[in-house]
Amino acid sequence: MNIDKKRKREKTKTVIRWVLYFLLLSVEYVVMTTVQANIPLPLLMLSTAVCISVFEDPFDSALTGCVAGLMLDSAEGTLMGINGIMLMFGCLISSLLFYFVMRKHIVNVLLLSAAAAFIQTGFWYIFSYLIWGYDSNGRIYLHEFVPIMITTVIASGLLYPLIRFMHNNLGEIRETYVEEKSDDIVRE
Amino acid sequence: MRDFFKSTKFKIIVALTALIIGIMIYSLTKGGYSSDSASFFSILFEPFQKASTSISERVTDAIDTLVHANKYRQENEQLKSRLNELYNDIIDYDKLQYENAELRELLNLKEENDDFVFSAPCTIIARTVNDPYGSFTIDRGSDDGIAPYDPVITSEGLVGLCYDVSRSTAKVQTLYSPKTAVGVTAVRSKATGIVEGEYELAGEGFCRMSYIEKTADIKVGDVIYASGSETFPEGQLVGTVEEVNMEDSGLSKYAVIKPAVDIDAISTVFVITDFNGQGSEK
Repeated sequence: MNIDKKRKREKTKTVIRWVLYFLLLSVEYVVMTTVQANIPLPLLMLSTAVCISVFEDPFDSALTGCVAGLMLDSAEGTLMGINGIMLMFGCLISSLLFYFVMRKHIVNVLLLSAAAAFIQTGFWYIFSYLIWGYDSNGRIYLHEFVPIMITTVIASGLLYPLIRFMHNNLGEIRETYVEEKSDDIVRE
Repeated sequence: MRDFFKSTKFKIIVALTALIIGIMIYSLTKGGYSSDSASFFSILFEPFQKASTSISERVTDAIDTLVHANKYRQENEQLKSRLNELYNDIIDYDKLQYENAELRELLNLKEENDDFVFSAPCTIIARTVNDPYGSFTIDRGSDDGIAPYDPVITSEGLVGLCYDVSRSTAKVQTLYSPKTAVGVTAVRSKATGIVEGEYELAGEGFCRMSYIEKTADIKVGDVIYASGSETFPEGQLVGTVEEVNMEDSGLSKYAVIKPAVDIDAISTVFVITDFNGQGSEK
């Protein structure tokens, strides 16, 4: 009876967690498309997807990355799907790395965010600017894309504790217990 | 890890990838129209974007008033001195008469264009993220008769053109974008050129008029309007000349143009869905 109750509670928590993840992505989408700032806006959906992939299993991370990427495509006005595919595989790789190789540490998250932002903005720059041969391509990269990468990494640093908090309080109890004991057990 | 790559979950990811690639290819073949998947998020979040835009505009206005109070006071002083200068300018009657003739000519151009079919007023619901050329999304799309390459205007002049149209929204690229090229003519001297965006100028709210003949009579303050093409109707006010320089090659001149419309500040636009001479590409 107790086990059934526990499982039901865990299921409810998991549903709430995923609803909160989606709400967070939705709020970020609305913010990115409506707020007019004088500084380049961070790629909030990318930061969030990378942070989620730290805690979730590879399949769930890949799906989250795909949804976040499609939202990013819509927000940036890029070809629908290009960010979807990139973030899907980015989050899959990130999740596998955190599952088997890397420690769940904020420095690792920032490094992966920087790599993801570099690849994403790189593709964006190539397809939207470089191949069109505009005169000021170098300056555009320096003044537009480099700040986007920097603000994205900063956003990851701010979002990571929030998503860790959500996962720790709404995640599976067994996983939290094992993590608290030792990282080696998780890797086994 | 090897088990994961053999699992059904990984096969689902591969299938999803194939599906997205299919969507991408389909989107590319739509010729300016958003695919249904592309417009999914914009339609889903449209009401939230409207609410957020309204809130953010109010908050921005309130903060702006508080933060820039000193700046506005200075601007007020500057405007007062400018007003005095303008009073002095009244003495120069001939000049005023000439400017009056220019404006009357522009007004006539507008009255003559009774062939325009306008969309209903369109509200800007989103600005494209991190776009140095200021493109934005409006709340009307193909259901309202809007098609790709339709020109976008306000009562003050030309803004740009639609380039990605879904059922209920459309994306607009502005005069700041290098992809927007408008054939233009100066009202006073009839000097011609092409107005297009440039990265350095876009940040300062200007665009560039290129391909002006070396001998053309064009000077600061000249008003320019669209010459008319398959994309842009004739007579639409584009802006005023701020600066005239010789190209590095020495073969032609170029001018820096201040668009008639303050693109970063507008919140409502109109789309011309049809006019005489519109091209068949729509």
